[in-house]
Amino acid sequence: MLADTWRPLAAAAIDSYEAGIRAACDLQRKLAAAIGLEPVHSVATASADFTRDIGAVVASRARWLLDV
Amino acid sequence: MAARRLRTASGVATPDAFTSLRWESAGSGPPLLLIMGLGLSGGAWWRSVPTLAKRFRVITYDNRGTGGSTALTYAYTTEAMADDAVAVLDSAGAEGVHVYGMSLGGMVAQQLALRHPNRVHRLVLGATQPGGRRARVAEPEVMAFFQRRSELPSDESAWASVPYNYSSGARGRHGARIAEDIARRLAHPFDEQAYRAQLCASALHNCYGRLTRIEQPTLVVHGTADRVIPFENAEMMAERIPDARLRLLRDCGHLYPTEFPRVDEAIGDFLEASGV
Repeated sequence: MLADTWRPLAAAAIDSYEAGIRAACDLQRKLAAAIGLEPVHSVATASADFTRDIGAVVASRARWLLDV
Repeated sequence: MAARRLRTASGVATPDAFTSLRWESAGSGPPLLLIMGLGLSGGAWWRSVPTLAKRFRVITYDNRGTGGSTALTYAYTTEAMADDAVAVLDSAGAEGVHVYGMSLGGMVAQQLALRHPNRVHRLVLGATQPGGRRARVAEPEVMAFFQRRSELPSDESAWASVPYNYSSGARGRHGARIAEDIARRLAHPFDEQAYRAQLCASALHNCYGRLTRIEQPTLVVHGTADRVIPFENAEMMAERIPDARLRLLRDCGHLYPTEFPRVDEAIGDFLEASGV
């Protein structure tokens, strides 16, 4: 169990990680939209979804472990 | 009850070439998105839609792998399901909406409010939980049933879930209503893989630490006899969400709209109070 003083830092670290994942997803989606050609568009979108889901799982488990 | 499902518009959201999410809307007024829970299609809102559609443009949709929605991959996280909800809103031409989610749908609604706050005006969280290690989980017997449920034939599984989804009082008093629910549920296809993916999404859901960031006025509704998601979760969420109020329904089970249909009027009152 983390001391209460460390908890905000841990939460901030996970927030930053999530923000990074989200930025990466947004970038991939923008690229997908710019390409616009199937099936490349859908593959790029699927890649963004994959990044989002892996990031979500990692963040969820980290929040659970650190209780933040 | 011979409630007719109002239907005024329908469409398909296609977030990518392999995914199609079927939605319907009924009524007119401020838009209200309803998000259904584990393994159920948007049609499972049939009891609530006629009441809410008198005051709102009610949008229901089928989550990936349920009802008429299909996808190459299923949604394994509530984050993904929230993004699907946004694709539905875009397709339905609804920018900002009220959101009412039940059970797993309530978890998706939390993510929607956190990931896309500009799209959500007011929030109703029904029979749901925040996730994280502090969430109260169901008894082991209940958990075991839902984990093996997808292995049972559809009709057997639907009837076997009755002692978990409805309170003992409802089973005694409202047998006909429960039979109606199950008949409706069996009318929609049930995809085992989608069910398992949604179970995974529910298990991974974790918004506990971020509930304090939900800025929207929120109504938390829960039955005190809910065996699937204990009502202490509702108390926890109402305490953590800054602008939340709690409505506990005494002796009601998980699928409380069947046991206490008047709750939809109260939910409509809460949503309408915003004047959006």
